[in-house]
Amino acid sequence: MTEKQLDCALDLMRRLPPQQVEKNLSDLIDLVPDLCEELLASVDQPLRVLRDKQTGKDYLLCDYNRDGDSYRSPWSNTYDPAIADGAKPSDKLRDLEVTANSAFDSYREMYYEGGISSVYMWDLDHGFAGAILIKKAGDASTKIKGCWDSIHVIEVQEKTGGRNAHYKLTSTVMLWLQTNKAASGTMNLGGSLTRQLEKDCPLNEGNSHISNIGRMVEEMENKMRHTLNEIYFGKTRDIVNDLRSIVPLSEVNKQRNVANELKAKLESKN
Amino acid sequence: MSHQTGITCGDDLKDVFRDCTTDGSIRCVKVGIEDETLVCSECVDKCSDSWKGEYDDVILNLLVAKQPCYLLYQLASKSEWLMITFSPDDSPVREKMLYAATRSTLKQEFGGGFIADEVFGTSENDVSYKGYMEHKAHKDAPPPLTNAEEELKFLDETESNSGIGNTTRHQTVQGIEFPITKDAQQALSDFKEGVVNHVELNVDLENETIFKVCSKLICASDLEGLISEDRAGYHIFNYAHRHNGEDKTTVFFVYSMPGYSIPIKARMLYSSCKAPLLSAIEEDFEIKLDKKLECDSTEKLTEEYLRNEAHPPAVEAKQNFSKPKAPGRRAPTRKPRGAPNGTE
Repeated sequence: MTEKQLDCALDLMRRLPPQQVEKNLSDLIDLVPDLCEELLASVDQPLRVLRDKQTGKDYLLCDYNRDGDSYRSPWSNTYDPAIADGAKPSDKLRDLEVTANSAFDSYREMYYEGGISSVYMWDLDHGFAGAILIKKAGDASTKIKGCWDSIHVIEVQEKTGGRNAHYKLTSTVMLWLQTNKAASGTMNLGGSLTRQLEKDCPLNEGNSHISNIGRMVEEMENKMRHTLNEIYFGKTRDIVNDLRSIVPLSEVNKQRNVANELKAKLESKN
Repeated sequence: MSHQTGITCGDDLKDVFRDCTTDGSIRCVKVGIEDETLVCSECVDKCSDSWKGEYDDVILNLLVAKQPCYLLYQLASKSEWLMITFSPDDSPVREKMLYAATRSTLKQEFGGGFIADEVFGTSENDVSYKGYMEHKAHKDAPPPLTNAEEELKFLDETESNSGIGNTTRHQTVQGIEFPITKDAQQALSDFKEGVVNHVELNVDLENETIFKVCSKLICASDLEGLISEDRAGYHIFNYAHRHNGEDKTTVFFVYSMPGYSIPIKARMLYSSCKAPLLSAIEEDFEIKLDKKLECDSTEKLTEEYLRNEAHPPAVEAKQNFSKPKAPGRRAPTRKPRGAPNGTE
């Protein structure tokens, strides 16, 4: 029964407006409180931002750095609001987390020229997992408002021998745009896209976990951005062009009349 | 990012950085390199709310001749900072290199997301308020384009994307509609009535028509033999069978094309004629085609194959994206209804 309920709930989430994911999700959880944890784990929400009180840096919140009502900062490795026994990565993994944060900070700086990024890691029974989050909100000064959230969840399993590792990457990109111009009124465009990729990579001095993960994330982000740009925006533009025309209708009719007239003249000549 | 010196922040500076973005009363921080560590050499508090008014007073007083330094200056809010790298031409080369190769580290330590703008200057004029305004004007200016590029941009804006929509997109190669001969029409009507359950149609390449090859009553097992291996053809077959204790009929349309042994002209005409023929069968003769198959000489249309096509085995329920379980052990406490959802 609950499985069916979860399916229906996820179906609903897919169809409801993406701009209000948080509200829809909270309403759904009110309807079926039993599904709270499953829903929070399976629905990606727009990333929220919190400022670390110890380092003064911003970090992103998601389900993977949450324990109860507190969120862990990747910079100081502490929970806010403070809890004594919050889940934390092992020391070895924490070192990897610190390196990953600085690596993806540079990545974000170069690709996004702004925005915020956070990386969280946690131990699994076999290997470990990580969540790489990047958020960039558009400039408030321009006429277009918008926000890009990308959530990459990666599961890493080292093969016996330690020379290879299996990576499973699940990436979600959430994007919304809003334009408000006198000529066209308010336009809201948004949605999310999830893709999965599994790959085995060698693990040696030149190829650490960070560089393997980095390459996968980079490849995936480029692919998804391309998909959004070419397919989704292209289709939307087609639809908008069908709904509205830049040239007034009278102009179009005039052109058509001239064409018909010419055609008739040519035909009568023959 | 170029290779960095490896010089990192001192603890004092880290505290200052924290106060910068959490407290917000600091207007400007001057950062220098001493003993291979980034340290805070001076800190200026806000005097007023106008960053523009204080700019020259604060910045120019902090500059020292022949000595590079970094300045972090708070703009409109505590989340927006201007990073100034001051490196006078006449300062020692060693210093200039150290400061240049530590810039990214400093930026990262401070939090790249807070830095709204960066200015690099070699003289006071570059980093003064006037200099910053010139830097901004330069940054906001349109990119320098050649005439040809301007024209291309104009074309892009005016032509390419207007008037192209779903309704204006056409298939470039539409099908070819050849007339269907009288006896083929008769065969299709018979098929509709149920007089026959198999019709084979072929394309007459000379006369450009679609004609009937044969039409008869067959068993499902006969179909395999009727599909020729040395000529192409369209077959329509009404497959009557029992499935799960119910009598069912499924109408198959099979387009058979043996492959490269057929001349190119025939291969092209057969495939171009297919779509118009399908619509003619479905619309003019009102025969509903349940399944459309294509086959070449290597595939055999056995009865089992037809049955599988008509009743494909149920596919496994689609899998959700499986993600590793999150580390947090406790669910969040629910906010009471109507409480605002915390968004920033």
